[in-house]
Amino acid sequence: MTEPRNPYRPLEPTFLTDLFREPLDPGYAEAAQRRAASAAAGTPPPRWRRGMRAGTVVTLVVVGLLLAVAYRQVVADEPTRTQVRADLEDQIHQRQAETDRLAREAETLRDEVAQLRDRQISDPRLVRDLRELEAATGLGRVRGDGVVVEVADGPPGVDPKTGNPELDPQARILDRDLQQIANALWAAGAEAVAVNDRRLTASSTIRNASGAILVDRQPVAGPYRIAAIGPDRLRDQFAASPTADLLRLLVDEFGVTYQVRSAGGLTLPAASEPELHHATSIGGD
Amino acid sequence: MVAVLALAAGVVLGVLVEPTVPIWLLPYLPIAVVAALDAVFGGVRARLDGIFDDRQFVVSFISNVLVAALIVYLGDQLGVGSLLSIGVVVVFGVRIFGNLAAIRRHLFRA
Repeated sequence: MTEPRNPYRPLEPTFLTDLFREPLDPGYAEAAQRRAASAAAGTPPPRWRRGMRAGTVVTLVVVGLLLAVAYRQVVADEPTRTQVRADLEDQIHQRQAETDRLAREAETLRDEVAQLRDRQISDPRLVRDLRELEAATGLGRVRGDGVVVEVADGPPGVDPKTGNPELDPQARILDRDLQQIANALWAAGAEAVAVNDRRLTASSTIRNASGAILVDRQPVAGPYRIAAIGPDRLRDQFAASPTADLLRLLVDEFGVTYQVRSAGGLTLPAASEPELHHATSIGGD
Repeated sequence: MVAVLALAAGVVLGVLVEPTVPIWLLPYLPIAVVAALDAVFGGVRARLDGIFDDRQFVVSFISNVLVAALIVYLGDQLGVGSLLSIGVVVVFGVRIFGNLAAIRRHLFRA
């Protein structure tokens, strides 16, 4: 730059370069120049200079205040954050306990309803048919022989940067895996399937919500235990399915846990009462 | 000396009075601190260079804080969140580092 710098246009195109080269506000140099010029000319320093000294002191007091307030704010924020988190956790646990209690209550009431209904129906054959239908649709508790498929996330690796244990996202069991297992079990002839004691029905969902797996909108945590009641060939058929191939691949590649075994006398709970989406009661009797 | 005392007085005042910051002012606090630090380090460096000027210091502090606050406010209103304040932090950060390096050279000759 050959031209003299224009003091009223401090933002030259090379602003950033200048910033790195000369971080001090150019105003200081200009003020010093002005002072030197007036001293050379013999004029006394202007009257306001003394007042500005007080301005500096006030500014510094304000800066100190600012630092103290900012520090206090950061320190004060921390307990609030932990407190909020703890409160939320408490609420979650409370609601979960409440949900469990209500679910148990619903179960006893359902048993009661079933008993009353059976007493009303005089024909034992009808009662048996009804029971069969309930078992097939997942509305009734069932017992029988079948298989248990157990899968779990692979072992955590070690983060190379922090040294903390860290789970490889690929070694994680996904909602997709559970879906495929459930579908393969149905395809192999299973009559009732439950994931971690949550019974699946025809309208059940296995979904992913930010890292957690939800079965019918209820979170399930690994290790996952998928129990199915079905014919004797269930185990072999499942083991021969593409899903089992995929799981074995996951075992070899990422070290996930996968185990399938026959089990006798499995008891699968009833699914929660289905919600009516389209049908409405017509009332009356 | 007076400057250090004034700064210390401000800190003590802040600790003793325990002022509560209104919630709408909170987003501006971090940026204001960075701007204030820039003004302070600039002032110290100018002092060591022997060209400290009271008026320049006061004006640079006030304008720094105001411009920083304005940019945070604009970023809020435009919906780009904290993106605009990144620019503020970069500029002030570079200046703070540069001035600190100059101060260090003055004090330790290294």
